[in-house]
Amino acid sequence: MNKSHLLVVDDNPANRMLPGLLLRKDGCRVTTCDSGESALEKLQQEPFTHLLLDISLPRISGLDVCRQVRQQPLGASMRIIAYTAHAMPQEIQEFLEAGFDGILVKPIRRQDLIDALNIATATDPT
Amino acid sequence: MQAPWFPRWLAFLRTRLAFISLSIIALVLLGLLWAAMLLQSQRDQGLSLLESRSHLLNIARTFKEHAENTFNDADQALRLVKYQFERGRSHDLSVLNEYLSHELPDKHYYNQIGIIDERGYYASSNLSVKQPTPVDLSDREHFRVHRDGPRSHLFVSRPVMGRISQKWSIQVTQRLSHPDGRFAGVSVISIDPDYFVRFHRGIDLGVQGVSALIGLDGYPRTLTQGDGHANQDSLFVNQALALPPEVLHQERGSFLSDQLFDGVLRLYAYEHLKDAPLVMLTGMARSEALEEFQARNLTYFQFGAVISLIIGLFAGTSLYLLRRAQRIHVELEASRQQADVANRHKSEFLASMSHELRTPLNGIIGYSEHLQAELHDPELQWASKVIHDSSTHLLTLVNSILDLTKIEAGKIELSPRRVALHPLLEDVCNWHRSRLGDHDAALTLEWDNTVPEHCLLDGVRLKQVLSNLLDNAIKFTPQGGRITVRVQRVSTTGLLRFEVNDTGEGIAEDMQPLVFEKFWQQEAFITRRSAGTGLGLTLCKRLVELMGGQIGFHSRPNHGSTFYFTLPCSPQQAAHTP
Repeated sequence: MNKSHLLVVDDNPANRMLPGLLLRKDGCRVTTCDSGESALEKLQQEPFTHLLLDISLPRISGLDVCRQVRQQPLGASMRIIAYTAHAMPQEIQEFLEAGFDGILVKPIRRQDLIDALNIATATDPT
Repeated sequence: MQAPWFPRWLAFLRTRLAFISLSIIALVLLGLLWAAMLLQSQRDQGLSLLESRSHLLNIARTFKEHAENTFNDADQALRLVKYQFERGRSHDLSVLNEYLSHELPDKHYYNQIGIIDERGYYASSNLSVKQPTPVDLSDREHFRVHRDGPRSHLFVSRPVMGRISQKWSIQVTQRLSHPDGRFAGVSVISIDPDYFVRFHRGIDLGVQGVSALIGLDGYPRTLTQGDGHANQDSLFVNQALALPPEVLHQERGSFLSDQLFDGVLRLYAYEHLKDAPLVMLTGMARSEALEEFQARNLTYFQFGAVISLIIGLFAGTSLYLLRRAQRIHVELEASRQQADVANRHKSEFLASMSHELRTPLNGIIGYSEHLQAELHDPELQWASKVIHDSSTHLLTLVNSILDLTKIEAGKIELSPRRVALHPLLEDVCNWHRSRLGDHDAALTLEWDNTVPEHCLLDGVRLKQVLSNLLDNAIKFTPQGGRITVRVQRVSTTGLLRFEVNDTGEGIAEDMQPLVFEKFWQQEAFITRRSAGTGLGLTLCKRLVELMGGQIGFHSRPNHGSTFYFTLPCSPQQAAHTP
């Protein structure tokens, strides 16, 4: 089965819950939190394979969270995806430079999510 | 990152540079012109003075030779007197007078010729043999030098008033001796100084010119002035002259001085007489000597002034034009900056609008997708599908706006790839067929065999254009209508031609020129169907042009429309697999 463990960080409850719902049948664990601070805290407590970060978070932005995580040993192998409604090319460029592995532009579809996370799914033939 | 200050700074420097270099060129030209003129003027002045100097030297020589001749004659006459005196025939001077008149008929240079005895009394004269009272001349210098001084051959006195002739005369005297050598008196010839003046007047030395016969004692013997004054009617005849020392020592020469006579700055030339302590001096006012030069000089400088004026005007006009260009440039720059600011605001607005719309759309699309998957009641499933499709449509509108903005800002980039055309077209058609739903219209794809299977182009953008055209076609085709997508290769140009044909309501003729304009909508759209932002066709046009093709349409109201576009697909780019 899928050993992925996602941490989804978004201050909007609907958007925070969505990835978990879309991946419900794929057998990966999804944890959520609503701020950059709590995300950094959670990352210290548990190991995650994926981090889905909204950018426009209160106080600490997703960009800053990403930079901080990348500086820690646990951030080296983690796949960090921006989960954002910012879609302008220069914004996306900025995210990639900050150390994100991929960009998920809202609104997302299930397939977009799977492609970005690069995980095996329940519907995969293998 | 582009640094916006850089070109502005460069342009500023460039205009300044032009400004400065133009000024420097003008100044250098003016400087060169005037330097050349001053140099030429100085050279010319030097030459003029040199010319005047040699002229004055020649005149001095002529005058000197004339004076020498005169004194030679006087000497000859005195030798005769001496000869007669020493033979005891001294008193018969009328013979001598007759002789002199006969020998030198034209030379009336003397007033009187006579003998002064050893006591200083006039012993005889050619003028009047008998004087009522004997005239004592023992106090006269021309007597005393011979009586008291060493033996000298000839003495030339300063002009004195003759006590017998009652005329101003230069007394030229010789010593007479008794047979035993004792002083016996002097023979004297009184030369009329005006004789020299008359000769000197023959040559013009200018109004301020002078010519003078001067003793080495510094006193003039004769003086001729250009203004008409001469000898005793001149103020300067009895004044010792401050001759420069070299005049006493050098045989011949010239000098510039304002110390002689009336203080006028003159160029002087002089030459010593051979057998007498006398110098012939000629002088010409420097200003008069340079008159001709100065007239010439004035012409030069007038010419120079005109040229300077032309250079100045030229430079001034150029500088004015430069300044104006610079000002216009600055204004342009300012308005460009304003436009930049406005553009940035627009971009910021669009970015935030995009962000604000995407956030709720994420909820709508995501959750409706989830519901579709989870719900089993067909009615509810259909309802969630409606939500999903509608919100997806809304998303395409948001994307259209952003794409159009990107194209207008020149920020969109194509990524051409080798694309399998047929599957791509099938995909697009299938996708739209699925959207037809209860819309009872037929959508068919007509594929021409001449079309290559693969082509080098941006598939995503091609899909976008086709989708937009199909969206419109579906929107305006009524129940039972037909929509046809045709693809063919234009044999003459090698371009691919895509057509989307519908049997819809068509476009009113007066509206047709506006179809590709931004925000254009047919009036009927609003009243009948609420769809379309009027951006789709504009975006299609821009994308097609970006890909190097052309877009167009023909339409008849109530008969339908055909939108078509071409895309380049050259054999080199396309991998044509048979």
